[in-house]
Amino acid sequence: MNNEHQHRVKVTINGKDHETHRGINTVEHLRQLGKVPPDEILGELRRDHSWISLDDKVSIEIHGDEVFTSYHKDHQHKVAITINHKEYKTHKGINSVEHLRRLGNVSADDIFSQFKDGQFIDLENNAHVDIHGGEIFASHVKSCGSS
Amino acid sequence: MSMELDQDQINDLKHYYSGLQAVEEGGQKFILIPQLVLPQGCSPQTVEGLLCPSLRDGYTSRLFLSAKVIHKGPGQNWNPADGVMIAGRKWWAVSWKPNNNSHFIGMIKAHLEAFK
Repeated sequence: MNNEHQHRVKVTINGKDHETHRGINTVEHLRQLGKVPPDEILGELRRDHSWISLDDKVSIEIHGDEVFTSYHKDHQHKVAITINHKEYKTHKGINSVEHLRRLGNVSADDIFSQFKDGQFIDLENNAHVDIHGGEIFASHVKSCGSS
Repeated sequence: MSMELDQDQINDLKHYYSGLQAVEEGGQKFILIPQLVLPQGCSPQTVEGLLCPSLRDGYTSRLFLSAKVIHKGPGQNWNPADGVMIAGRKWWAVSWKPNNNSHFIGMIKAHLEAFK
């Protein structure tokens, strides 16, 4: 084993942190690490918020702090959420705020929030939300402030 | 002159708040929200809210609260300073410009910024 493989780094799979070796990792290894069910597709959530699906037979280079999420292969496995009082369908699991904004046609300048436990929680543009179905989101034009 | 409250918007508001009631005084219409949860750090955090979605006191909309809450948000200027009587009860509101939010829920969210 060389030194590179001895260096352990953190990766996040479906919201949980795991350790793996830096360098080339098989997708199969990552799936086992994150206990990803066989009927789910694993993908990497990139820093630019894009999501790239990973073929089970390939290997990828891990540097540390990569984020992976999976979702059910059945594309019908979508759930309903509400954005600004309208219902939309999205995939269960980790959704980027950027994706949710696009889905609900929410302006980038507006404050976007999740309505949870009776209150509005503002969401940063680079945040992610674990969607189970039934979540409620709303946006508004930022206030002018105190007068 | 008061506008009629938009029923579609009230129906939308019911996704967020239950027990909504219409209140009218002096020809102006309000929406009473029995349990309005304010942002973290407010004391008390849950109050009754009274949304005036039309022009009042020079503001495009106002959100009155059943209590003069203690908070660390930017809206520290209570106007009127001693509260105001609406429909036989005393209510409190901060001086806050909510910008051009045409939907009731957007108005409420914009007003809540004052307490964050």
